[in-house]
Amino acid sequence: MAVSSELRQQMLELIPSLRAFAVSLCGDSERGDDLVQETLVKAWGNFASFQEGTNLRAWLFTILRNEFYSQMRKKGREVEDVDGVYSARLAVHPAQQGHIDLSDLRKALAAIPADQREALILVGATGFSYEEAAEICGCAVGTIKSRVNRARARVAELMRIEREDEFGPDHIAGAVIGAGGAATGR
Amino acid sequence: MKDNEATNANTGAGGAAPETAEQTSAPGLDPAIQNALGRELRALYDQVVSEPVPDRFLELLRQLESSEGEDQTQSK
Repeated sequence: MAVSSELRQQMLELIPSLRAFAVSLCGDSERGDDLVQETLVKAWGNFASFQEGTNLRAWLFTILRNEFYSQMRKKGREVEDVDGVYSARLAVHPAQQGHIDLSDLRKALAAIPADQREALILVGATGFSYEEAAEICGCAVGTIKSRVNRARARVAELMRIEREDEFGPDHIAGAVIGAGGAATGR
Repeated sequence: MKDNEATNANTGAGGAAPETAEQTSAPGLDPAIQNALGRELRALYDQVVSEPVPDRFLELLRQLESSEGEDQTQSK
């Protein structure tokens, strides 16, 4: 069946967002982009099952996530294996860092369980609602909220510890709140 | 953003309250830290989102579209 040009355009506009989520799942942008490619091909072939006017972004994210986990299963890999490469490979854009040191955040994200990480990224970074995130992850809304809460608490704790080690306890409040230039140029 | 709305609605949620469906802020997590974390998450995310769409995807969409026309007399 033919895909409407409007739908095609919407897909195109969602690619950056899909790439960002894919990178957070895969740990590096190359594999992330491969995953997005596979997602788009799958989605295109399955548009018959998509109701135009419904949440295209959530639908695409669901396909991408399912594709990621099914690939993991095929490879016989634990999802946690990705954690090790996450902070190492994720590219740093020096021009955009400004006063925010994001490497602490990346490390912290890599250190929490995968289900908490994806919940936090879907809700906290992508801006999905809890209901949408629950739909994408195939679980209850309460489960997502619980994962997000735990992820936030753990990430905040890890970042506090990280900065305390590096800058000393005096810098914690300023660094975490992002008020000063304490966390720069790592 | 929806999670910020939730944050503002649950200011100073201190103490070891059990996680319920209604509780959307992490128990004991300082709202200031939660906001900072939210900002940093979005900044991290925006780094990738703000990148221009790589050519491979533009090419892919072109290919997907043109393969739809295979049953027509359209040539690749």
